[in-house]
Amino acid sequence: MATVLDGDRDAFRILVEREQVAVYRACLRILGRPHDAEDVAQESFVMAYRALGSYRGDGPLGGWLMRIATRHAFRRLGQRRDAAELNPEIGLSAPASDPLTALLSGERERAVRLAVAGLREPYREVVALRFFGELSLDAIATATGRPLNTVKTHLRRGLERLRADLGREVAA
Amino acid sequence: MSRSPFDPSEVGGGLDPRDPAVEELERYATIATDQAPADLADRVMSAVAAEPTPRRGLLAWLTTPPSAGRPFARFARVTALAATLVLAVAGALYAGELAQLVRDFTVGSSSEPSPSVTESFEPSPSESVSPTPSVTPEESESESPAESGEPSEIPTSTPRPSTSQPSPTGQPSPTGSEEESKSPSPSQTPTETASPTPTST
Repeated sequence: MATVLDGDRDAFRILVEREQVAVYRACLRILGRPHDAEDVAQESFVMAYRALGSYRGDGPLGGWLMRIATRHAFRRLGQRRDAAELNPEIGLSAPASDPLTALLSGERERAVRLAVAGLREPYREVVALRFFGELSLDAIATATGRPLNTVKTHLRRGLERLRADLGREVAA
Repeated sequence: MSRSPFDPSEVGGGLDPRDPAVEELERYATIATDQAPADLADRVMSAVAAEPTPRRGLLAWLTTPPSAGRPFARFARVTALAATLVLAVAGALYAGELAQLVRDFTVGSSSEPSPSVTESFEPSPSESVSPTPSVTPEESESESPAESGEPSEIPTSTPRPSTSQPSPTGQPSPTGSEEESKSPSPSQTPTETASPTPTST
């Protein structure tokens, strides 16, 4: 880790290879499009390399990296929602034989993505790191610098709000 | 990479085990499990190659916990910081002493000519100010009395012309009321001009 923090590119490559799957999946779950997720994951690694000088080392690099990636992905999602979306959302699940089933599945996935993206901070970050980044609550507490009980409270409240939002989406 | 499904007991109770939000999130997370593109690491490293080597900030350098291979790193950092502080304080003290010596030397040598310089500056502004107010009141008496109220030296000069004028202009009564409204800026003129107008009419 010390060599990564000293800017050693070979050591950073090891970090990229170790974390790329988790970072890419988190970006894909937030953005819903493989091509966008690929771009955001790559940009997140470059942003992390630039910001290595500010990393305090008070937790695993994976959590710090995941936090950068989820923030960047939500920022990109906000920019994308500002622009007109020309093509309808395509579901991430395996292509169904029935086009209607595929469309409904895509809509449902989109509702989950938008509901999480619509949460206020810090609830959105905690929910995304736990469910999309697959970090443990201890890792989230370390990465965000918050006490574990605070993280638990944020997650519980985030899920409560999400339940209401998802219920509204389904009803609509 | 295996997923670790969410357990409602993680948040310490208060959450339904079959919470619909949790179920939706879990279902969604199990769907989106694509592998990263094979060339992602290569693309990242080619982008990183163009970046300069990151430099660590002082705060991050000091607060980074020591790694296992370098147990004395924290001690070395604290020592380096203390040495820097001592050097900075010593440098500041030395610079202060040096500045005091220079000040003593320059004050002792340059005390004589300084009064002659200050005396030469004083009369010049008083001469330049005095001509301007004496000219402006004469022009502004007939046209706009309100403009002459700005400078502080004007009231001493303006009442003289304004008191001499009402006697010729005080004959017609309608102009007296106009002069009351026009000349409120000097405080002496309204009392003089107001009294003739009612008695004349």
